Amino acid sequence: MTTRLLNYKDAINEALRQEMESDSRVFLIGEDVAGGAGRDDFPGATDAWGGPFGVTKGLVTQFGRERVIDSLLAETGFVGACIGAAFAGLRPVAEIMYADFLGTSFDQILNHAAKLRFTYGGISSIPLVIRTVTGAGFRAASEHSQMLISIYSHVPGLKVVAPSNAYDAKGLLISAIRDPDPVIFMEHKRLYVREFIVPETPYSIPIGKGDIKRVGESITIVGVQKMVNTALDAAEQLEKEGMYAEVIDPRSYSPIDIDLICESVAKTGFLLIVDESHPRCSIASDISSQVGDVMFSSLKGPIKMLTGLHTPVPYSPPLEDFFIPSVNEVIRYCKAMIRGEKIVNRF
Amino acid sequence: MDKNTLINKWKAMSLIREFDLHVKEFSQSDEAFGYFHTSIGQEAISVGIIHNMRKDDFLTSTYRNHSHGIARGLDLRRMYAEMLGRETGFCKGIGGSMHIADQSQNFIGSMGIVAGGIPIAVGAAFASKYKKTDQIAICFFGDGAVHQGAFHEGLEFSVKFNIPVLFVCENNLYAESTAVEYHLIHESAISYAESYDLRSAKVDGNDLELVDQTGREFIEWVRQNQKPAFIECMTYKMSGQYEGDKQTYKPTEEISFWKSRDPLVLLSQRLINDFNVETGVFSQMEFQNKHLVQVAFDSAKKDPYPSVDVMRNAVYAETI
Repeated sequence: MTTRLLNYKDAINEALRQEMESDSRVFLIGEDVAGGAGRDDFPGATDAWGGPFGVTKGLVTQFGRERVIDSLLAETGFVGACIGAAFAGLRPVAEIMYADFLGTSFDQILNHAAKLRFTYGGISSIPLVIRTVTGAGFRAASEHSQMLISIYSHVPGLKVVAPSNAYDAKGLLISAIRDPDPVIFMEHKRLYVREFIVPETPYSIPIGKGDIKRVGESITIVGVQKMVNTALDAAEQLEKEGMYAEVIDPRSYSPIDIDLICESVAKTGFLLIVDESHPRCSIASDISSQVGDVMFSSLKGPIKMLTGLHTPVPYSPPLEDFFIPSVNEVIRYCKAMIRGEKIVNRF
Repeated sequence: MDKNTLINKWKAMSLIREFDLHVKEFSQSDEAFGYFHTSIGQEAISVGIIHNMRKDDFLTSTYRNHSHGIARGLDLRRMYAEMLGRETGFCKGIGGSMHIADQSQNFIGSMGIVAGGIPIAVGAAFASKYKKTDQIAICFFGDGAVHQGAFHEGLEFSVKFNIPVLFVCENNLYAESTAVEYHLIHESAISYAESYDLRSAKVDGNDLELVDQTGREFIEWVRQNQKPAFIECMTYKMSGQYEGDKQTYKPTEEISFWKSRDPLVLLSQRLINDFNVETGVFSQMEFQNKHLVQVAFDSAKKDPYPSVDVMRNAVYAETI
């Protein structure tokens, strides 16, 4: 099997390409996914954009405008149409340019995509993928920087995945496209150019299965999407001081692999959850509650959450940098937890 | 239309009427639970449009769906079972009155969210076009739906991408309890369709023959031209927004005017005047329909409630 370094963006592009090659039911629709390519009066505009991050670049050239469709700037309209198309046997992959824009199509996702099977007795299948872009760190301010994983994970009928590296991104996207249910596939904008070893041939990673990214015995760190990488960087430094962090990437948030986290906590006795999202009603608080519920007797100290603030994401660089949990903060939290010291909340 | 066809249409409309009258009565009884929205007075639209659909065409409806279901040929017993929350219902008791649909027959759903089904119908028709089948989608909604973004975005999508979908607006003069003159910008909903360059028509929705003729013509046109179209059917919500609605917001003259324009009355008058049909024919059909509804209700009531597993297994598809 040929493997090579590929960045997250290109791994997603490759997954889309390979699934479109093998299944004619798969089509892409979203704002600028074709990037304005294929204009009759301006053939030179081939593949101008491929989305604002260039993720779908090149696909319209290969598959044509029938299968790579520039939508209108109307998320309710095209997400709703994807639900109908999925019901009727296609495999739509919709792209919502930023997770923040999911709000403009939320009724279709909340009340229709998630419930069109359930409400009518579990007869149909809605094999829909909605790809979208999460995360802070781009100086993109409050309406282009949110995570929102918890909002979608709250809704039964949806599946939610958010990979932290290019390898997982490709395998999980292939699974999402082949999945019979609606999947919200969240891509972190700060990960797009990050490289990882990725096999060329198509492969799938099961949705709902977490992954141990680093083995350790001193403390369990669960990272949410990009924070997996922050946790790994922290773990490397902690090792120099004789503390061995086990880093877990849930990869899927609905369903979520709580068992994997519990097994790790049984070994380490400490759990830190790092999530750049807001702390309230969040993935971090959900993991904390689920693990605390069954692992109380194994814990050597309280479960801690290191999260963003309960404010929208700010624009100004020092503020945004403060908002996002840093490697140093992860190290500080881990040390204090292991030593049983009181943690001064960074807020 | 010939005499026998018209008599059959009257019978089909009467079955919907008898079903909804039964629901109306039942809804006020102690055994009833949930929300019920009847289509009393709007039967000609369902029969006129849906009888012209092909069996494999897609359909979306709203919470005012009983008439669409019956016109589509849904089994009355399973419809009532659904309203009674029984496992034998079309949605295994998970949906109730507001969500009756038979997805196995491409009846995608009856959406409780106003205008929610519009982009979904567009998407199903998009799939037909993509797969080059010649199925179309038909999408019902009320006059209140035309204010929703989903309505405008669905219409715009269908026009811009040439989607074979027929939009049917049942303008029953009230968005919930708000009269059209207070909520529509123009006199009727068709102006929105015209502004999107949709082929459109406005018809008397209580005139079965007119609805049928327009429905047949538009369905054929949509299928052949692979483009969307829009029909606005003017009608009247005789039983109010929901069962139990006292309708104190309606002038009595208006109610009596529309009673005289009841689609069943109009069609029976036509049959009596132009085809010499005797009044006994109508009472006999009505009697038969009443019986069918009663039998459906009585047997549905004996059906079991769903198990918790039914609910659990309905959330996600396990295999494909």
